[in-house]
Amino acid sequence: MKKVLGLALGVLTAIGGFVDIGDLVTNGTVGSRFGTSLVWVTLLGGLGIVVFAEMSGRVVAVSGRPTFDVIRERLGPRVALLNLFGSMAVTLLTYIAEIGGVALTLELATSVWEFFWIPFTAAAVWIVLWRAKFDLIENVFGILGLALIVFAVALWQLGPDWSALWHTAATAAKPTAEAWPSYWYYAVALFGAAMTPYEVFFFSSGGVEEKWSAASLGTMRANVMIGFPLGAMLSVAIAAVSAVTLLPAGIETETLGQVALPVALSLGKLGLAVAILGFFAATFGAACETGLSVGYSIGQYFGWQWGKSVRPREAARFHAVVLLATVLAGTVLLTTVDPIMVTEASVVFSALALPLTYLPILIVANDPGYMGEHRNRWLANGLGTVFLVIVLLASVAAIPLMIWTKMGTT
Amino acid sequence: MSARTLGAGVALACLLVGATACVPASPDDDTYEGKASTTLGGAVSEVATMQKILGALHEGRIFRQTAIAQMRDSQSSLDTNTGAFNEVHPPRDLDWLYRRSNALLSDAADTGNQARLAIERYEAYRYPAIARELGSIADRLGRLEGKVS
Repeated sequence: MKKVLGLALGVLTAIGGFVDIGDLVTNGTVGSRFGTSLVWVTLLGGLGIVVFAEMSGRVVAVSGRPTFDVIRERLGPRVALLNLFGSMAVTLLTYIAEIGGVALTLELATSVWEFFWIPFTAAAVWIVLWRAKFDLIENVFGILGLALIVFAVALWQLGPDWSALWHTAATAAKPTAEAWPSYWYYAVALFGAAMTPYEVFFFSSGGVEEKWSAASLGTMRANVMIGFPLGAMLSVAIAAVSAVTLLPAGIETETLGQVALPVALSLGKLGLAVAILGFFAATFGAACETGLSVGYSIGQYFGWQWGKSVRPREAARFHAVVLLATVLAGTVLLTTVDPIMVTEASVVFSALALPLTYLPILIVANDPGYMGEHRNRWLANGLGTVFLVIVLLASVAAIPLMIWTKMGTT
Repeated sequence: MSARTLGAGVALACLLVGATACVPASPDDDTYEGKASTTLGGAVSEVATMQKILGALHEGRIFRQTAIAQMRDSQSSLDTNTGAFNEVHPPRDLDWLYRRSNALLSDAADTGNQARLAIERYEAYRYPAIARELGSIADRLGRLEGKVS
């Protein structure tokens, strides 16, 4: 019974922890501009993260070492350094966006200007990362993140024309007023939001924190294969509810308030309160994950003691990196940069950095020296290779599309 | 070429680039219409958002704090877009577009401000009238956007 409850908790945490500020904003924007015509990208990105999270989780469970550590040993310090720079830059940008997202959520709840909240948010995130236990962070914010199911409830309550929504999703029919370059720009952004590099760092490093072994493979696969796809469905619900309420009114989502507006219109104050709680859990939880990921990747590259499972005194450099990253994130946000702009940039640059994260994982997961009988089989290799091609295409197209469409504004 | 000459060349190039950045853009007709269309489309989005917020507040479906936060964001976005549009010099034969866009954007900003003040002052009796006015402005903005896109 305890095992089943543990499994259920893991799956629920994976669902609730899937969505972050990038998913919230990008799905809201896409739904309000393109309806459900880009749902296929969310589903594709969801499948991609399942493939690579399973691979990196397997590497951890079999080798007992985090993916980044194995990459450095297998591919050498130079290639690993390239991986570190590319992925770290995006993770840091995402960390800034998540802290900004918490501040924006608090502004929605209180009407107090977001910049007032930034120092308190950054301090709160750091205190949680310093004091709270790993599984407490993962479980509390993951479970509270389930509040975002309110978007699916709101969609059902609105009683949309399901066949029209399905038709647009199935045919990927773009609204005529929108241009193709913008369509593809948002396709790349959605893909980047679904496959953000930190998700894999956090997932695999979390496996080490939780002391996974080959016996944990079943639990890990259940979390990945049930939790992540259901989490991706939350993203679809956010896009669909925007498509139903905002697209016909000519509203293009650019703020977190506009993302929440359809829930208020559908379910009133109670629904809105639940949505705001979900925003808080999703952004605060993701801020913790990205903050830890910054420390994890640097600590693992340099071979320091790292993680939440050891006393802070024993992992002083790891905690110092997390603290510095938090101070940097807060400082950048206090320059009055728009957190939504940072979020939009982070998902596009995430797409750019994807090959640096996923190619090494595919190589390591195929190495019999590390993986033995658990190395990739034909299905994992086939899917991994297909996704690597998609990831490369998204990476190559990201910056030209960003420039061509002026970040999707044309 | 000596290092000093090269340095002077680079400095002159930087100065020229910097100077051109300070000169307002004077685009051709198509570019100006494109810019107007983007600005008007953005304005429709913000005005429609304010209208929905006011309607939801009147029906008790949204928290006052959330409404104020979103109103502030919508006003800020409207101001930024209008400012960016006004920095572009219109071609002579599109003066009419400049005047009509400016008038509508100005109405949108004024009415948005009235809406936020009404919420801040708890003047709920004014919400329906302001929401109707916002709806009318959104329609006019949308029609003008349709003309130029």
